Parts: sequence; C-alpha cells; structure tokens
Amino acid sequence: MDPGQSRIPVKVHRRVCILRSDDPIIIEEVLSRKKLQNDIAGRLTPSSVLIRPGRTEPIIAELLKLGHTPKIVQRPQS
Amino acid sequence: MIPNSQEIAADWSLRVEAALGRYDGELLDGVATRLLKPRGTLPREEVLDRTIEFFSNPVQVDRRISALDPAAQILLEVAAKSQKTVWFVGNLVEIVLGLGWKDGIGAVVGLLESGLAYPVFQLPTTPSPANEFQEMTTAAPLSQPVQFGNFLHWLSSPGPMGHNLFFVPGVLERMEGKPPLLPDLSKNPHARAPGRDEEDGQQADESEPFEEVIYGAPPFPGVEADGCEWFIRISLLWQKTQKNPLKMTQAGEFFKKDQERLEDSQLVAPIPESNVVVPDLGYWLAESARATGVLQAVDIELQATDFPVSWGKGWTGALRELLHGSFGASGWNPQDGWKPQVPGEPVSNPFPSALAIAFSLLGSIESGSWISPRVIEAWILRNHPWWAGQGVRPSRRKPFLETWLAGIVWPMGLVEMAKDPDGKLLFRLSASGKMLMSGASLSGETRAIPKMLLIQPNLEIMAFRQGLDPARIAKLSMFAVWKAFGPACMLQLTPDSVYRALELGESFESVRAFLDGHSTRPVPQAIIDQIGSWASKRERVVIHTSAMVLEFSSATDLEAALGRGLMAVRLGDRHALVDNEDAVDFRMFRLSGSRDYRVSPEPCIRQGPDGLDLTVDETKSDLLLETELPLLADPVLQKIGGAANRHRITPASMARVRERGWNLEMLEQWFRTRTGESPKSSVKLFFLAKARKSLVIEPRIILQSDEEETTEGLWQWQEFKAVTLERVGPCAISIHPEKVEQAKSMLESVGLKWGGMISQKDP
Repeated sequence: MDPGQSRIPVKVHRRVCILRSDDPIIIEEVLSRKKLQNDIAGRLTPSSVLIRPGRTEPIIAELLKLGHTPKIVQRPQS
Repeated sequence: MIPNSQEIAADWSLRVEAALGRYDGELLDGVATRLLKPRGTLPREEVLDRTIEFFSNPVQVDRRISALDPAAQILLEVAAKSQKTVWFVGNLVEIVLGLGWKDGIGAVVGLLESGLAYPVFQLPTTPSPANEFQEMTTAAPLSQPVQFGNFLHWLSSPGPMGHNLFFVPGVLERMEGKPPLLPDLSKNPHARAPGRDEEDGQQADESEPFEEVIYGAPPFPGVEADGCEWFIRISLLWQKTQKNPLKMTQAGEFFKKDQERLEDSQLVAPIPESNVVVPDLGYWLAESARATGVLQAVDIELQATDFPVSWGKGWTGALRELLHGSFGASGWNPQDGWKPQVPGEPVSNPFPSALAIAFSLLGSIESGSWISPRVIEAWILRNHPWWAGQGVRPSRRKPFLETWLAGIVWPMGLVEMAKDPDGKLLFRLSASGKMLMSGASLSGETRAIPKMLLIQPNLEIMAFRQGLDPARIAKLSMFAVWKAFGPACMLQLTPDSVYRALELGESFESVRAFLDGHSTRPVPQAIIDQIGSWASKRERVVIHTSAMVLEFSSATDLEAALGRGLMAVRLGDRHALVDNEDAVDFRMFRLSGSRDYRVSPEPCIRQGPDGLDLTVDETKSDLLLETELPLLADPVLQKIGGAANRHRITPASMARVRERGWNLEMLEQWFRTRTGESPKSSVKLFFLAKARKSLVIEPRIILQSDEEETTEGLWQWQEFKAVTLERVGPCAISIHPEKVEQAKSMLESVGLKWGGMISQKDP
C-alpha cells in the first residue's frame, strides 16, 4: 500500500451465505417461495439475497427442484 | 488426519522438522549423534537443517541402514517392498514378531533413535494473510506442542491420531537392490523366519511339515488384469454417495438401507476371470474408498469428496494407495469379510501386518517363478503371533490369502495369476507389481490409446477399457453416470451428471475438450449443444456458501478500494463480495467492525423508553439485521450517505411482520437476540391488537361513591345488583340505563343521599 494513502473504513462480514443472480426474476422467484422463507433473511441488494447461516442446502435443493442449476462457490482452503 | 505415502513423499521434510521440534534437547542430541555423527553438540536449528540435508546423501544413508539391527532392517525391507511409508506402530511390532524376533518394540524404537523414521505429528498451519487477520481479530493464542524425552514416553501417550510413524522416502529407495532378508519361499516353503533363523541358526522349520509342490518357472500361461476394475467400482460408489452419503451407527455398522446399497448387484458383480468370491465386496470398496480419500468420514457419514490427486497423476500413486488401503481396511478382512470395529474397544486386526508380509514374501521369490498362496499363508500362520500356538480357533485358520490375492490384488494388475494342473491358483508379481515394488513409476502412466470413447447421439458413452486409467476414470465419473462395466463400459450423460462436474470445478470447455480428445469419432454437435445448454444454465444463479462481504460506508469508498486492486464482486453501491480472503490486502482498510456469521449475533439494538424507538449500534450490527429491520420498523433518521441507524416500530410495520407469518414467539426471539431483552408491551400491543377482541367506546351511567365500603355494600346487596351492569372500579358501579329510577329509590330506601345526575356535557 502506498504510505500516502489513507486507510478505507470497512466493516467485514465473514462466512456469509449469499445467493447472487443478475436476473431479477430469479431473485423475485426465490424471495416469493414460501418454503424458503425461514432460510432466506432477505434481499441485500437488487442482485443478491442473504441466506441464513447454515441454510444453503434447502435452498439448493429447492432451486434444483425449480429447474435451476446453481453454481456453488465454497470457501477456498487456505 | 494421518497422511498417506503420497503426502509423505511431498512434505516429508516438513514432517521431519515437525517431529524433531517435539524432541527435547537430550533426545534431539541422541538422534543427531546417531544420524549425523557431529563432532560436538549442534544447535537445534542446525540439527534440523543438517538432518534434511543428510537424506540427499545416499552413501551416508546406506551406512546408517547397515548399522541397524537385522530386525529394524527387515522392517525397512517390508516397508520398501510394500512401498508404504506411513505405518501404525502396532503393525510394525507385529511384523517384527511375525518374522521371528521377540522384541518388536525394540526394533521400532531403534529405527526412531537412528533418525531414519519419525513419529507422525500434525503439521503447523501455514501463516496466511487471512489467518493473521483472524488472529488479530480473535486474539486466539497458539498452544505450544508438548515435547518428549524418549520414544517410550511418546509410545505411552498416544495423541488423537494414535501412534504412527513414517520412513523418509529416500531411506526406502536405498533398500532397492539390497540382498533380501526375507526368504524365497518358492525355493524353500519351509524356510524359517529370519528372526528365528538368526537365533538358532537352523535354515528350515520342520515342526509342521508342509506338503506343497514347489514351482520353479513352469510355462503356465499367466493372466493379468488391466488394473481398472477397482477404480471404476470405487467411482461408481462415489457417484452413488454424492447425494446420499453412507451412514454408520455408533457401533460402527452401516445403516440397514446403506447395507443394501453396498450389496448392490452392480457394485458387487463377480470379477471376470478371478473366480474367487470376495466376502462383502461392497464393504471393502467403501473401506478402500475411505482409505484412498475418495470418501471422507464426517461424523457418522461417509461423504463423497474430490478424487485423490494421485488418480490424476497416473497409475503408480493411485495403485499404491489402493494396495495400502487393501492392507489396512479397518472394518474388512479377507477372512471374515465385513467385521466393523466397535468404537472404544481394543483394536485387534492382524491383517495389515500379515498382508504386508505376504506381499513382501511374494516379492522375494525368484523372478519368473510361481508360488501357491497356500505356501505363503502357511508360513504366516506358523510365524505370525496372531495365529501362532495351539489354542487358535479353527475359524481363525480359514484361508484368506488366496481370496486377497485373486479377489483384491489381481484386479489391480499387480500380480499375474495361473492355474496348476490340479486347477489350484498360483501367483507371481506382474511387471506392474515389480515396478511398483521397486519404487519406480509404472511404465505408461497414462494409457497409450488416447481414443477410447464412442459417443452416441442418445447421450450414451461407450468407453473401451484399453484406454482407461485412473485419471480418465475419474474425469468420466464426474460428468457421466456409470451404467455397465465389461470389456467396454457404458456411461450416460445426464443434466445432473454434467451439473455435478461443473460443481467439481470442470467447465463446459474442459468436458468438451476431454470428449473431443478421446472420442474415436467426432462428437455429435447435438451432444455438444446439449452439454453447453446445461452448463450455461448454471451460471445464472450463484450461491456463495461462506463468502466475505466488505461493507463500505459509501459508494466512493468502495470505488476507492476497487481502484486500489481489491479483487471482489460488487454487490451494490456499498457492498463487495470476496470468496478468497487470502487474496485481500487488509492493510488498505481500517476496520470499523467485524462479524463472523457462524457465531451467534450479539445484541446490537437499543430500545427507546417506549419500546418503539430502535437505535442500531453499527459496530455490532450485521447484514442479516439490514434485511430484517426494514420489515420490523420504519427508518427515522437518514444519515448522510449511509444507512439509517434509528427506526421506529409502527402499527403498519407490525402488520408487515404479521403478514410475513411471524408469531409472537418469533418476535420475542428476535428482540432477545437483537436487543438482549423482550419486546415492550407497546410493541406487543401493535403486534397483537388485530388478533384481540375488538374494543368498544360507549356511554355509561356510573354511580360514583366517595367511599369504597359504601360501593362494596351496594355491590353485595342482591336486589340492588339487579339494577346494575357491572362494577367498574372500587367506588364506581355502572347502572342499567333503564333502571335508574329504581336505583334511586333503592338508594333512598337505605338512607343514602342522592347527589343527582351529571350529564355528558357538564364539566
């Protein structure tokens, strides 16, 4: 880092589960599924949905049932 | 995790350093003196450096090997012939005893003291930016490992991994070409165990005469397998456990439905040409898959994991791991089949040591000679401590070696098999077996025939075995389902199988390149289009299971961070997502808050005096709150360029909560989690008002007294009670509007003075 640059204030959220899609219809579809209401915390941004910790499996299963094939990005091993 | 031989080959120097780090000063000096023979005492750092350097000098290694006791030398010979570098100490002790020596522990300790073998310890974690950052934020102290002063001390205190040691690979390489200490049983089936031979000098054991024909090098036609069988079947098991892991009970037994899956006819189909029934073959496959890392034990489950790295590197490493897995399958043996070890009970499994001795004896016979498995087995039964003696039960003496050699090792392609004129099976090492035993890489690490696939328009793939190897089997298993395996194997492409491959890191391009590269004919365009269609669908939805989200206070800050090289996916104006924390340079940030979502949230909201005002402590809040709060309350004060930190609960916001399906218990739970206390009555009022009985406002005629006793007396007077509606207070009674006159006269009748009526308009 350039010593002349100031540090940027940031809040870090670690080990967050997020569903992301550029297609707003998919986001709406997920948010409107009653079956997923306990698993999804809510919409974070227009293109992302926050998943409750440890609740990714039912969401993946439901998406597969809906005919989607979600790409799962795991935390890389450090 | 106990490392396998492949892992030891990659990181033995780190493991030697880790082990030496656990030796106290006196023990370190002792080992250094025997191994390095320094002129004086060396500092610890220099011992570490010179020890690693020592193993690159073959002459010095040879000298130290020749200085070892014969019992320790023969352990090196068995380890080298098995190409197994990591051993459970108990198995090594059994091998020494099984070869005729009386002091098994002494031989193992001798090897450790010589510095040619080392205890297996966990490697220290590698420092990374993310780890450093985590340590900064959690301040978790690192515990110092305990040192020990002698190897008996280590043996008396097993850690969570038990007692395991490893030989430095360079030491085992030096055993190649040395005169064998193990006997050649093809020449003398009655040869005495080397340890006993050393003690009394006799060359043959005549105590149990053994009638067996000795075969020098008769011209029997040998049969050799292609080595693919177990890789295909383990891959099939891997596919079957992808979505439904195998589950085990507390007693180490598989659940009933999983037992049925392991007895699946496709999985346990007879092995062509082997003609041996392997007991509980499906269970052996499960144990081998676990031993080779294809399945991973997580709690009570055996879960499918990535294919081992060794499968991608060719035959040598993959076959070596499979062979080692067949020595030490913990719940399976070739005599009894599936016999799970009950957790917590003493382990008594002689087969890892017996099978390692058997394989080494097979490797000690004269090149070209055949040997009957009964000769090797009888020799082991005479000498191994598990079988030696008169009191051994007949069930323990059931033949097992022919089953293991013909049923398990032969399909690996490591031995050749033939029949004598009586139809009895004979074995010798195959060319692959000899290469593996010598420590050299097998010739033809990948199959010479690159074009081995026939892809049909109905999405079926025919794979010819001549072109298969572990790497190709693993790759095919990822994106196609095994349907049948004979001389030509049949696989099926399905949406699920292609999706599975993509999930495991493959891409449309890599699948297509594999099919193009190995297909005997051009891949039909319809097949490529279909795979492409399945693959593109996946990119539309991405789920990050454990990402890091950076929340900036403004869009400008996010832009600045991206401008300084932050590798992240932008989520919105102020949020960016990072999958690999190690790639983030945290020095550019000033931390205004940190939250780990696997840990329960701490209270981050303060309730106002009326319970309806909520103030967020932004240093403790999280993203979940950002999505929850707009539901429960309405923002009150908007900070410039930032999120609202004050909210107010309103009847409308509580109506939203009710519509979302929350109940009072959920609301109370949310308040306890987020504020640390229960919701106040005002909140409950807003939440429950609709569900409660409707309220009524109506005019009433109230008889008001100035004394509670007077009111009480009237209320107890039954005749007067008949003209009232209800008692509304200590000194007030509601009078029936049509019985006011009657009430007046009754009051007068007892002498109470009537004060008159006050109308609603009166002040």
